[in-house]
Amino acid sequence: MIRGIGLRLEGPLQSWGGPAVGDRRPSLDFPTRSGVMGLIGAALGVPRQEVAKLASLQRGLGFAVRVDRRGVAAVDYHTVMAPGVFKTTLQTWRTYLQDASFAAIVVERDGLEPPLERILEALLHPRFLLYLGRKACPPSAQVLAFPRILEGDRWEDLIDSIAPAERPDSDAGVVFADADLGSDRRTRLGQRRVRDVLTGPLPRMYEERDVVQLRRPLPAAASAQGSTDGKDTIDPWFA
Amino acid sequence: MTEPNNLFIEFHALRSYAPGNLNRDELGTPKTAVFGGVRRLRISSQCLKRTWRTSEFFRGQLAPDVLGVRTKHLPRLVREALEKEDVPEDVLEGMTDLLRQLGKGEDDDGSDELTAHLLYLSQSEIEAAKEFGRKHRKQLEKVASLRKAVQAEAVAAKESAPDAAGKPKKGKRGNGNTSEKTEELKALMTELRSDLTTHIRESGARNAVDVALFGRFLTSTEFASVESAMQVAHALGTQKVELEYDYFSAVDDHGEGPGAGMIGESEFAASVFYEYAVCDWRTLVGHLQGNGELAAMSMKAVALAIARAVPKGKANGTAPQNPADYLEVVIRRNAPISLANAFMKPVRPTESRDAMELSIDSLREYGARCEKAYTAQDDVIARFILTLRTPAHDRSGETRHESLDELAAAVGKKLIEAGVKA
Repeated sequence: MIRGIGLRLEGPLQSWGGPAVGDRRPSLDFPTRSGVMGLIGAALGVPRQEVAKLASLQRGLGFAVRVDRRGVAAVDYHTVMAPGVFKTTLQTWRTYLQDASFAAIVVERDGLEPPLERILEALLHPRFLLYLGRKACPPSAQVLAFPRILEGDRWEDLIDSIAPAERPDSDAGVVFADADLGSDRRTRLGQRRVRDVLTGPLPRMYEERDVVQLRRPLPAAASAQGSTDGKDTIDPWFA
Repeated sequence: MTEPNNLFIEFHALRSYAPGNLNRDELGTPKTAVFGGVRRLRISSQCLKRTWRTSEFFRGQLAPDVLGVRTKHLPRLVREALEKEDVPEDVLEGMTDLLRQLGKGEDDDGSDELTAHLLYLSQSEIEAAKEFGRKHRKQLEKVASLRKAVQAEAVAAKESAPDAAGKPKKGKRGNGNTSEKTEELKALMTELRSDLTTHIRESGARNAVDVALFGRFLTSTEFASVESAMQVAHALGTQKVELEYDYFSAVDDHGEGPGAGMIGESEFAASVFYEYAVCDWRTLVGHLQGNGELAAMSMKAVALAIARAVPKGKANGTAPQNPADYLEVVIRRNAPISLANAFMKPVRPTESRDAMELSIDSLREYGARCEKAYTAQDDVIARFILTLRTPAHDRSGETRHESLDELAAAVGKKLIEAGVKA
């Protein structure tokens, strides 16, 4: 029995940082492990400096994300005045994903601290502000896909229970999952290394993980949980 | 329901700007974003934050001594204050020397009285620095005397061994040997800088309100970086954008013959914008050392800025003094959500209803649906509305205000009532 929490990562702008060289700040094309764990950490009220706590949290959770809308990448020209190290105005170019939407799950692993129930509660009533990669990217949909813990035989069942977003694009259904979650070989498109596992002891020290890219069928829209389009009525989370 | 973690103050605004170019990229093009598959105008989060922070609408609400000071002149400010208290010259010199090191890695033996870069400090933190000067006289005197000794050594070295061209050799870097005095000074400086860091932290110095709200990132260790209590989204157009070009010419007053002195094109566009910002109350109050009243005042100031402050882009050529038509401030316990999805389908004006009216109705209708779906009974503590247009539907649980001042005051009052113990 696998237990986890379903997430919807959707907002007009999101940015999931990859290795940044100087003034170019790129985004990966899907939410990073560190970004999402950071979001959960924020809900729990773990300050960003408490790297050990964040690292231990993320060790207790498996992670998979499905692309519903890959979005359009764009660069924002962002100047920083009096930045400190540089004497003149610093110019940066920061990449954002526009109009993207992802479904994600975090699944319980042995030794998860704090327990899943606490994480769920924190996402309903977060301590810190939640954002999708950068602070200027508030979510425009509930981050929780369901107000309850998900259970299933396989992690794939959990992510399948999250209905797709509106206007899914041609990439919809591609899943990027921790390789160690295990997956059906026949659905594998490929595997890559992504450097987004927060380790510490300093802030922003990362290791790589293996990520499998899977092509899975997009679940039917009929379940309609989390959709706020006028056509479907949602069961209120709190009756 | 379990005890809530926090209170969030959300600001939703709809503002229509006449044609202009409030925020542009490095090529002069108005910033845009694709949303709902359609390109919109955008004002970046960083532009909005700076606009609000520097505007008189925000600053005018707060006493000067709670606002941040941006300066490189910390050494001079501290010196001038301590001079008045008849602190001995040696201590003053030592303090100036110490403060000059802020933000620098290596020891700086230069002659200016500036920190490495602009520090963004509260009055309270400047006072704490002064207090350090008062309390560490002996060590600061030692700094001054060691510095004099090191400088004397450097002068002696230059005089005794000029190079072949008769020019004095460069100081300690030249020969790689550092004297005992230099090492001693370095060690003392390191110790004092560490003491200063501890002192500032333990002094209970309160952050400036603008620093608490919008954060600061400093590379000097003595003053900590501050996590912003506010989150400001990029403002998004609710309509599809039409970028346009303004062809202009500049006439030469003494030109002969036809033709302008210069011709060019600048870009512009217009839109109704949805602006969204939210404040993390507990973090804000924490930054202000528990001062709930000051935190509540700052929320008033933010409300005023959101409705009135204008970004400076092309302001002289477009006079974009357009206030918000609609402002909604919500105090809630559960996770805040941007209502941007109300505008996934871009708003299209009709014969009888303009883009602002339609945007207001979309926002309210979508907001009501989200509320019904995702919010528990007592999650929303209060909702305040200011609207220049009549919305199509009323909503229960909201209070309408006739003026911005009234709305801002009501928000402040409610926050003080709700209490610091969020």
